[in-house]
Parts: sequence; C-alpha cells; structure tokens
Amino acid sequence: MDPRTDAELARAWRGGEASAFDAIYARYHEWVVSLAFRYTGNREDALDVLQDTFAYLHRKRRNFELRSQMKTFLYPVVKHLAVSRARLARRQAPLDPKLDPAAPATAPEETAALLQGLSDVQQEVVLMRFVDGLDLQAIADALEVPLGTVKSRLHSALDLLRGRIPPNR
Amino acid sequence: MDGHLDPLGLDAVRAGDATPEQRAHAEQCAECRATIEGFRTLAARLTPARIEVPAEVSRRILRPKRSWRPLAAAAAALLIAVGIWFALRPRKVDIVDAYSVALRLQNGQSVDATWDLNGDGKVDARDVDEIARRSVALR
Amino acid sequence: MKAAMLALGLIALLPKQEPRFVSVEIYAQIDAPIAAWQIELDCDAKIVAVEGVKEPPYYDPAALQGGRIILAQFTTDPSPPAGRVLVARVHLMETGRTDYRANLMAAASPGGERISPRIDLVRLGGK
Repeated sequence: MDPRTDAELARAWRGGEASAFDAIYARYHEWVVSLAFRYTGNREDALDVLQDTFAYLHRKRRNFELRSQMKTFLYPVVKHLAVSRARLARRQAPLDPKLDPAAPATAPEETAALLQGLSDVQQEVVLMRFVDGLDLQAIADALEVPLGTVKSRLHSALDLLRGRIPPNR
Repeated sequence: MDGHLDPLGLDAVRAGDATPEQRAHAEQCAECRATIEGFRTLAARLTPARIEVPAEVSRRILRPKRSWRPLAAAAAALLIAVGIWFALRPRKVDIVDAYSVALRLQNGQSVDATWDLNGDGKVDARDVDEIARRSVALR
Repeated sequence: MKAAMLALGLIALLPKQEPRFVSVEIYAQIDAPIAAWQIELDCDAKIVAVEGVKEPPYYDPAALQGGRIILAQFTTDPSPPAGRVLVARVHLMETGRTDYRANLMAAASPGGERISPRIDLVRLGGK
C-alpha cells in the first residue's frame, strides 16, 4: 500500500507519475463503486460509473489540485454520474415512478427499514457518516452546505435512529 | 442536556473523533455506551456487501491504451455533462461579495465584469441584488 | 470561501407541546461595526415569517414553512452599528421540542474586511 497522503499522491500524479494514479485507484475504487451502487442500485451501472469517474479524473490531471480529502472531491462527481445514469436507466425502463433518482437507490430491504422515516437529506448524511466514514466537515464540503447544516441533519437523524437498534448487551 | 452525550457526541465516540471529555463520559456511562454500541451495529448493517470489480475493468482504467472502453454515446455525454456542470454551476457567492460590489459602485470604482451576473452587459444594483439572492438560496 | 462557523445558539425546549408561535431574535456581536452579515438558522420548527431591523433581510422564499433559512443583509451606511446588534427576527411555529442552531456564514466591516461576530439567539415566547 502506498503510504503517501491523498494530497501527496495528487501532486505526484499531476507531476506525471502514473503509479500515483494507480495508488489513488487502489485506495478508492471500491468506495467509488459502492457509492455509485447506492444511487444506481445496479452493479453494471455502478461499474460504468466507476470507469466514468476515473476517466473524468484522468482528464483533470493537468489542473488537478486536491484541496480536501479525495472522498470529498470524488463524492459529488460519483453522485452526479450515478444519478444521471440512474435517470437514463429509468427513462429507458421505468420502474417505480415514485422513486426519485437523486435519492439513494432503494437499498436492500433491511437498510430501507432501518432508514425509514428519515428524509432524503438525513439518509444521505447518515450514509456518508456511517458507511463512507467521512467527518462532518468533509460531508459539508462534499455536499457544499454549511457544517451547521450537516450537524443539524445528522443530529435529528440520529435522534430518530437511536432507539431502532437494540443495543448489544 | 440531561447528563448524557447528545447524538452528535455519541456518534463522535463511535467514529473515533470524540473529545477526551466525551470519551471519558462514555467510559463511565452505561446508557451512552449502549447507544454507541447500537450506532455501531447500525453502521455495520448499513454497510453494503463489497462489489467485486473485474480485473479487466481495473486494467482498462489504469492502462488505457486506446480509449477507455468503447464509449457509448450516452457515456460520452455523461462525461461532458459533468464537465459542463462543474464549469457552469453557479459561482459560490456570499453577502460580503454583494456588499463589496455595492460599495465599489457607490464609490464610483470599477467592478470586475465577472460580477455581471444578470448578463445585461453592465454591473449595477441589479447584479448586487442577484449576488445577495444567490447568497441566501437554499440548496 | 468557507463559511465561518462560530457560536452556535442552541436552545432546547421542554418536550411535547401544542403548536405555538414564537419568535427568535438573532444577534451578531463584535466590538466593531458590522456592515454585512449572512447567517444560517436551522431548527425543527416551521419558519413562518422574517422580520428585519431597518429593512427585511435577503432570504429564499422557499425557506418559509421549512426549518432552515439563510438570512443576509448589508448596509453602505459608513457607520453601521457595533457591539451586540439585533440583525433579524424570525417567526416560527413550534410543534414540540425544538432545537435551534445559528451559524455565521459571512460578515464584513465597513471597509469590506471579513469579520467573525459571535451569533446569539433569543427565543421569545409566542402568542
């Protein structure tokens, strides 16, 4: 595993080092495809989004400057690509017209039940925190909302969730 | 507060970015520890199964000899859409920008043409208004 | 520009009540004149109306009936107020336990330099 930080890898890659890009890919490709799946609900589309995401990153190499965590930078790119692809898929093969393509795709039944009652924005923040492992500032940066908004959404979401899982004794 | 950690504090302990005071409280409070454990269980249940990325896909991404892959028209359009989206998404502004432009206009100073947000060819009070409106727009 | 996050006004109320109308006064405090300010208010209540001091602040009409609003105003008056300044009053309908959070997003002195006043909230009982 490459020990360099995201910022160091970004700098090295921008400078032309191909192995730095390999390291970025190795570090994040599983998370990218998992995040893409959250919105597409479909493995094939998620893999396409993976390729599109790194193709996009590749095109930005010359001007690429990482001012935050890599996940913070990638999150809106992956989400936008995945939502666009999900919309395209729904136009071609309409499923449930109630589904909003911008909301996380219908999760496995258990996940949907766990997050029931949370608004779309609350669900998104919970998943970014619990599954993506982002800190609150990174979530704010990725969603381009103030930190206070993230705290508020997460606070109210966790308030709703705290009674749902029986604690392990 | 009722002597327990609030939800954000509980989550901070779960995530490992709690303050020393929050950690100390969690160590002493069985009820908070139980909730934190509940959050950990929830996080585990929300984490999806790993999606296997075929080696060929990774190879195409890492070593694009010709093109990435036979790009369908839709996929190419998506890439272009992302580029356009990033380039054209509304410029992030805040009220200090509106104030600064208003002040320069009031003082008869020149204002950068990029502040012509309404595209009418000049920067005036209507653009100040537009900057202020964009500052407070909810996402 | 990253929003500057300073003092959070957090007011927790007693549990479950009938719907009631309340007002929340938003204050910005700094030992310097405040020429421009932008504040986000986030809460569990429904925002019903917004009131300014000399004139109404800028806000997104979509915020009405929701729980989140961004308010902003500026003045080119060469001597704006300093100290603890009432900047806006928000009228809300509470339907139970309500937490309020206010964040400073941006502020400036008359010269245009960015400043960071502390933000306080005062909840006033409703009718």
